[in-house]
Amino acid sequence: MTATEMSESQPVLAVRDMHVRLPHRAGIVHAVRGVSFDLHRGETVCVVGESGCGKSMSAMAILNLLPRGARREAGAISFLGEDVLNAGERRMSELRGDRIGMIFQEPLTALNPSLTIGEQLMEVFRRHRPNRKGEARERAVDMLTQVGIPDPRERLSQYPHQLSGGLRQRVVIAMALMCEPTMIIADEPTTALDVTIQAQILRLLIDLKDRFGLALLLITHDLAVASRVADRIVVMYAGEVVEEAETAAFFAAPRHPYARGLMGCLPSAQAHGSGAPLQIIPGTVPSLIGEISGCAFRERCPEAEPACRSDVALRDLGGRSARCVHAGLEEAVA
Amino acid sequence: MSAKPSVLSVRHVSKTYRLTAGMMAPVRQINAVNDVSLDLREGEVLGLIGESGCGKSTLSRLLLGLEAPSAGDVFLNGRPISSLSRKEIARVLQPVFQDPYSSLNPRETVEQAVSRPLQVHGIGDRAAIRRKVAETIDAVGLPRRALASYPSQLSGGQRQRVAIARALILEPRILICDEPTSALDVSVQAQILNLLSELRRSANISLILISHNLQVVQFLADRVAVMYVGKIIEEGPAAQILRAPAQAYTRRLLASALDIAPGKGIPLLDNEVAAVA
Repeated sequence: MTATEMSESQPVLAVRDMHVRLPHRAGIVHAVRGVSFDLHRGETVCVVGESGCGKSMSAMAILNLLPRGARREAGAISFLGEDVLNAGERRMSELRGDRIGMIFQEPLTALNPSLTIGEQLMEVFRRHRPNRKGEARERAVDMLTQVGIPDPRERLSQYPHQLSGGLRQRVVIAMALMCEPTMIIADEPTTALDVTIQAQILRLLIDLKDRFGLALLLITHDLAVASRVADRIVVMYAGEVVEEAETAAFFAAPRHPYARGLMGCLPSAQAHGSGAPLQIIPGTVPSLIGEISGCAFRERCPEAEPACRSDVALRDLGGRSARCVHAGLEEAVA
Repeated sequence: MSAKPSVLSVRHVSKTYRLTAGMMAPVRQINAVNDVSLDLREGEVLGLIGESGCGKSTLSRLLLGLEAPSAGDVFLNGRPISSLSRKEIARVLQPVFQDPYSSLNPRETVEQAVSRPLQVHGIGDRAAIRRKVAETIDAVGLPRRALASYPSQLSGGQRQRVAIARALILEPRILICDEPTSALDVSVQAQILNLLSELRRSANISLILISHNLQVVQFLADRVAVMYVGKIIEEGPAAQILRAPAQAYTRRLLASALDIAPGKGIPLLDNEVAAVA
């Protein structure tokens, strides 16, 4: 499918101008500031950025699972064409676990320690498919098989603590798949796992996504993971989307100075034994308490100029975009 | 081979824990560290890599003298660590831990935290301590105004710099860094890695860098030891081990350390079909 065909088909998820504000002792935290993106059928979009950039908060906002006191505002949030921004919690709780699968970082907190694996898997199915309750058990066995868990029938009667971290995350993935979702939102699904297990779980997730034709929204801090699995990359900084592009184009030439800075920071960016220091991003992330005006990255940016003090819109660079006054000028020079 | 003397030697060290599940249950033995021998030479960075449960944290506690080995000996500058007092060890060997959020006392200012080791060791008068703290704070790249701050007022990267300053204040010869950047964002990780690399050059400090992150190890380490189920299964120059590992487990570890490779997907690891974990 070409990029134009993709954009013409109805997206699975469309987010427009989404904001999240959280109350804090010192004022209001603007955790998410005007985030917009689309996710299409069969597509993997990776939202990348460092802690506090608003990537997890955006996922929670879409799912209507924000912490108490948080306020969500948006131009629109639609799922398969349905307005889920104004749908209310009742409708969202129908969608979560059914059309929308969720996978979070720590499988132990996603699973109830006092219920068996089987009870938890079947419960999801019975809740969302009340007239097909009888199929729940077979469905659970089937999904455990799909996620590569050996002896699935015996596993049904085990408790989460009896499984390793990797197996637990497979169970969480099986649970997300119980009702044949259209979309999966996965927030750092492998961060809590050992590296060799991380690779296995990621590969499983991508295989399943392809097998079931899912749309996958993957939140990750890991650029290497994003480069390998994403169709498109969304980079967030200080609550905003600062760059969005197709994966190959993004990694070939990131257009936002923050994105370039992040890549330069990776130890793998430095040839071994050269002894040269790693590139760094000077300074720290600005406080998100109160309104931020102008480019949020300008204090740390090697290319900042007076124009950066005014608000910078996402610039359309033809199939990609970046929130930088210099974006789009590189080609003119080259 | 380097002719530099060994500052820390580990000789056939084992640590066994006994687990009892209940009165009637059989006693099980866990060989957390199993016959490990290692040498850290002067001015060298030795990377110790392995996954959770491989025994690398137990080994670091043995190296720090925080626990006694069940068998074998650890030698610090040729003297058995068991014959040295805590203070004697601390003058030569200092730890830097993973989590700068829990390794600092929230009620102490940066100045108090960093000067504490000097007071404990009774080194210097007030003015000398002041001067030394200021120098050390400069050396780790913290602004002097940070001295009056509490940990809660600092970012994760700044806290890790405070932890490193506290470790450096006694001018130790050896730092044992246990996952020093794994709680930090990559942009902050880069700053801390640069700092460690600079310290090793400017102060000729030897480092043991314990990490599961191969890229971090690759950036800093001269030599690498790979630990698996309590044993060192492979050891050698970093370039050699990370380019052409001899052991299947090391190859597997290397294959799962992903680099940027757009569209390449996640590689299938050896034995993956057999071992679902």
